[in-house]
Amino acid sequence: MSSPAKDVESTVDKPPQRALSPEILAAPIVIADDQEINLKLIGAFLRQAGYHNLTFALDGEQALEAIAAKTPVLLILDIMMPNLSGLELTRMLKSDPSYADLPVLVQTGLSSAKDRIEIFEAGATDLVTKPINGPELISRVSTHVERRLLIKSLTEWRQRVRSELIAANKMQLELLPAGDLLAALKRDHGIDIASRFISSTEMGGDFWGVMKIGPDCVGVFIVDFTGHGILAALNTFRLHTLIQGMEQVPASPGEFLGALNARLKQLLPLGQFATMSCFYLYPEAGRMRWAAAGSPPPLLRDPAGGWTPLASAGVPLGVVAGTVYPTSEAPFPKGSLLFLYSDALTEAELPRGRLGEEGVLAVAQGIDMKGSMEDRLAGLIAPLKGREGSLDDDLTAIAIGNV
Amino acid sequence: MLGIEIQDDSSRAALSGQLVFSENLAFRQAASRMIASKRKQLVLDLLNLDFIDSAGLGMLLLLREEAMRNQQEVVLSNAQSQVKRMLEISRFETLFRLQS
Repeated sequence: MSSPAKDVESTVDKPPQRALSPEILAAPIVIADDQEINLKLIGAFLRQAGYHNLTFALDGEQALEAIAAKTPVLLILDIMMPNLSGLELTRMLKSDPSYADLPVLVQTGLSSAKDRIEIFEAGATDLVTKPINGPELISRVSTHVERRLLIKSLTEWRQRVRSELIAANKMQLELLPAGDLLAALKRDHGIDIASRFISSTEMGGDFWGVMKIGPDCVGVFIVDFTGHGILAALNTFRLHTLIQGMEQVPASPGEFLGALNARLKQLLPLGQFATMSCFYLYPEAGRMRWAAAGSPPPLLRDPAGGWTPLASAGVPLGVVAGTVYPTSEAPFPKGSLLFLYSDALTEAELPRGRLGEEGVLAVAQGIDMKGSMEDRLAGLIAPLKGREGSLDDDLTAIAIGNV
Repeated sequence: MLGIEIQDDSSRAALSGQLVFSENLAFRQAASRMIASKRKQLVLDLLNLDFIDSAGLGMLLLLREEAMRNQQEVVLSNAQSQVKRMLEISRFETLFRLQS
């Protein structure tokens, strides 16, 4: 241990080198040294710079107590102390997840490269050599405190955003048809629907829904807004509101798309749009009508087992005012199956390349038609099995049977 | 990756690779240069463009909008496979001049 007198190099009357914010100056700092004179000296340097939330410890054990009590933003530590040495204390802190992030600024009289390496290996963030130079100490302390506070605020901000995103994601899921509505459709209309919604890394622009249109008619639609992330997700809320706000459901799927297009053209910024398919199903009569605005082609399986891609070309919604969406019609007798999906399925990058529309059709032709609607849906999206966590885009997939 | 090769007097650009959301900035910069050429017809050569997603279609629509404001016309030429299919399914022939 060097003598206290030798530890003093500069005087305490040097001005601080830069303006420090009140938040930085209020940061709790613990200073540990077994020489009281050193504590006084460091305390004087820090106070002169404006730091005022200081706690002093005369050995490693006192330092531990102070850390637990104060949750400091920085620890200034002497190496050679009785009871618990600075090195031991640093190692302990670094192996404890609650303190591993605490920056440790070691002040040492040890000056060989080997000693310095040992100090850093123990987990020290930085070191200052004795005799302590006031301005240097303040510069280092300020840098570490500033950095620590910045990281802390970024971490807190990220956690807040994350929890808000989780809540928003949940709200978005709540827009989708509830189980009891789907159960009622099956009971009252013989329309059996299985659906999967796999969200990509963030929120996305996929949305689907069902509507009771008349005593013998059920509507189903699938929508995909451009892009993903929060912007696209907000658009799904807009669309949900638009559909809920319709005074009456338009007489045909084409008019339904036309009405939404007119509103979305006003609402969406340039370059944003939505692809959509909308079906009016008449399960008793065994037919269906549909219109589409550029969504990937839905697949229809007839009761004999043949799969047909349905025409789905159309200018996406929100691009051109006044676009007319023609309504098509096809048989949809008992035993038919309709498969709707978003482009995450065709565009997913698989080891052999993207699946594409042909790939989706080929998979459909091979699925097992025994089992529940859920089983069939699982077969239809089987190529994505095991890749659910790594999709670039949201996937929505819906299997609709007339049973 | 998107490749953009601006040709002639900036009224023509050849795209290669993928036109997706992450290429937004590069595409917009190229689009501004094309608009600034003041030529009546702006041609995007899509021969070597392998893939376009809905965000890519949105970028084409932005270019179209900007061109229309300046009395210019956007021509999409030589679209292949998936890109061609995406233009068809979105009925872009009603919005752009398509050329093969």
